[in-house]
Amino acid sequence: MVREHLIYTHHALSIGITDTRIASQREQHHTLRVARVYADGCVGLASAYGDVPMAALEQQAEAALTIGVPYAPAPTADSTSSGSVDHHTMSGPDLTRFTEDLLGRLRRECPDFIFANRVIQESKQLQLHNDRGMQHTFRSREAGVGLTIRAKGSPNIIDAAVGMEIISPPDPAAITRHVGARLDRWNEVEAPTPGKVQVVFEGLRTLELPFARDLRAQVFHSNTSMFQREHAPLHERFVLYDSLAPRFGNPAFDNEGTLRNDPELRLLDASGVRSVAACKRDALRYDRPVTGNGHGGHTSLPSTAFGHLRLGETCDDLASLIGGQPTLWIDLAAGSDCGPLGDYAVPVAVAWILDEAGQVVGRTGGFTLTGNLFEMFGADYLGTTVTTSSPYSHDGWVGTRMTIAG
Amino acid sequence: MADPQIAFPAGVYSDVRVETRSKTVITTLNGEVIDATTHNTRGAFVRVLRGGIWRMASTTDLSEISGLLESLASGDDVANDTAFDPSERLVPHQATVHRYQDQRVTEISMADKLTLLRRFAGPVSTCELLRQHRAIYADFHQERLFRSSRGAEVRTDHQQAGLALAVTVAHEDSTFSDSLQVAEPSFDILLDQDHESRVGNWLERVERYVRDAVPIEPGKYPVILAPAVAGVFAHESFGHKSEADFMLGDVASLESWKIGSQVGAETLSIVDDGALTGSGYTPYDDEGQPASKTWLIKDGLLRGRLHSAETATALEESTTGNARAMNFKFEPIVRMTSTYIEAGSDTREQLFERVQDGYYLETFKHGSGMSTFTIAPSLAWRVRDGKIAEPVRINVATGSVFETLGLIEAVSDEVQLTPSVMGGCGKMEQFPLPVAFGGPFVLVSEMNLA
Repeated sequence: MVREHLIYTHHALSIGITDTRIASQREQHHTLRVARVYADGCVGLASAYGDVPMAALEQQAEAALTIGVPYAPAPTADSTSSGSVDHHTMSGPDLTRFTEDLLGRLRRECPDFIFANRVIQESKQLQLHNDRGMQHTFRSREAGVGLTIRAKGSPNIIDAAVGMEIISPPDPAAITRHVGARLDRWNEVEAPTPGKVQVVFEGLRTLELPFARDLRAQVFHSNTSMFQREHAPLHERFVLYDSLAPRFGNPAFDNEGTLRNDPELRLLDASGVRSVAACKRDALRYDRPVTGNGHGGHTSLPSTAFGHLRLGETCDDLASLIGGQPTLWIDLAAGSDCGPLGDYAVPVAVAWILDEAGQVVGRTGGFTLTGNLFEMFGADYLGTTVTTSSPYSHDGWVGTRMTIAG
Repeated sequence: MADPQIAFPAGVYSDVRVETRSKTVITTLNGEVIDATTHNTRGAFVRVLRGGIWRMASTTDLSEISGLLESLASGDDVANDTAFDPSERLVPHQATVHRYQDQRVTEISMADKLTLLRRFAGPVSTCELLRQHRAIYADFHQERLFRSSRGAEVRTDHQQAGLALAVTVAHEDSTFSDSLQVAEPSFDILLDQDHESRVGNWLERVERYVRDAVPIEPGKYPVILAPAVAGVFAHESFGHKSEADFMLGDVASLESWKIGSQVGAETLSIVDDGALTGSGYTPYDDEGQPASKTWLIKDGLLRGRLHSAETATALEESTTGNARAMNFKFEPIVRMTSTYIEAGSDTREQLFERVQDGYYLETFKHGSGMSTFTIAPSLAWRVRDGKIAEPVRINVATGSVFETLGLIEAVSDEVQLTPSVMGGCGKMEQFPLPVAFGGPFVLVSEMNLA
């Protein structure tokens, strides 16, 4: 019998914002304890928040073995790692003062808008170890500003949203300028013109659904992945990675304890599928290599999922990406869908009109963008920038062409 | 389990919410059990109102509660401390509403739950086009104790047992995925249902769909929404707009969102009701205020908003029992409970007979709503001469929310609510919160389909 423990400690200070003012201060401090027990090809799990003795959880996990959840692979053994990521953090009073300063500037300089949501600072520690020599630890300290934005009088509940990671000591004036650079153009509205258009996104998040869905071992085994069919070729400079790099807040090990020596797993490029994501269970079940993709909430057994999907960089910055062409920055999409053959439908609530240099000069929205994945990342792919989309992000700009549905 | 000792600090309003919760999830993939876990939680969330600002903390050490309250009552001030006092809206109720003390899902064995799940998914063995299937049994039992410095003491419980089945089928070059879910307040009620017929009938439609579905010509058409689709439309397109925290600080929005304004067809009434049994059941909210049946729209006229104490105070309206928190780690914010379009007078058959050439959206993948709403249909059908005809592939149904509300021509005479078995509603950082949504069958005279 192998016994495994996962201890996740989370501490967060959060300043709640309503009507561009501080409405609340919240402190959360929790420890989650998880016990897993492996025996005779099965696994049992038990978990609880708080100061519950691990021995009690182990007993519950052993009792759960009777359900017979199969776990054929050997538990990770003789594997150790220790990692951390430390972004800039502040004391509680400093966090409050920073928030007051920022909100005061936003009230003065963006008076036609209402800001809400929160500033949050988190400290997390994940420990995963067992009695077979697995010992992994990862610690992160991160802070961020998440703001929803409404124009006064707007019929929408949200008109725009800004998410910023506080990577270095934050400058409220610079953040206000960053937010204001687009809001200053809020009233420069143009109706969308149906047809093909050059678009950019901050990172891959809005478009990642088909990759996250169809590049998993289970889907390949069922022969229903769009990447198993004949399709138009992907761009020669297109590369898709699953990243466990610390800058994205991920440990180098997954929830099964598999340690990736290279945090960047190459999934897909112009030559085809390079890796199919598989946790240890799926790897054994579907006869695939283990890729360190055993993720999921700690209170359930790991399953195949992704850390951070990103594209390989192809050019320096936004100006070089858009090549002097009219471009829309897709800022707020109300959901996104992709059919089984790669057909996207992205309902766009807010898009910013960019000039040749990549500066915001106006706004549009209220249309649906369509496109096929193999064209968007094939012949229509513009590339991905090295320069991040903002000083508060780790992702570059992703550019392609899509069609505004008429 | 004994109640924690709570000493409220003097001179400030404060409250405490203690939550005990047990959750079980069993998952099978292609018939093999891949997960079977139970997770137990006991924690508390404390709030102190000082200087018009909530000071809050959560803890799993219930012996810390009084100390946390004292610490929050005496901490640093914030520059914009005000005299704003949302606690004035908080009536200190004393109530115990326990409906689920008997037939607790926690007393059912994992083996029995797994047996039910296998029975529920059993009909997949007859599905010739099946490529994979994932079945889930999920239940929870929770108890909440709310106490305040003004003498409120409210005890409530909530429970649900649910089943979900997601399938992927393929025929030649076509693949299609769809899902089905059902939930009841107790395991025994779930056990007694004819799942074989329900699942079998659904799988027949799914197989027919992947074999025969054809694309549509994009355009504007009469559309009938099944109760689940009508519900997600009401929830996403109008329900969130009714959450009063989105209107704070915006005089112009309040003016354009004036109670009594015409916002929809006369056939349309939309309600939020926390007293209804189901996923959104909230007899008392997480500020100790009782559930109420709140008309958001009545006979086409804007009738009300959903409130917490904070929003009710700011807008000088009454609380509505809609201050909900996802779990003990979070503060209550304005959330929906069970939100639905009220029934009308047509039978389902009469509703369909109104449509000579249109479409029927039976299930959906997801929906969202800004001033333009979007629904991604899953199972969809052509309607010809009042009858459901061939299956069709529709990528998206979209339109202006307010235009569409005005184009609701008729609603049928029976409401069905869709539960949240695994997912729920998301707002800011709090996802997923169990809610229910639904309605009758709804005929919209014109909707954009592509």
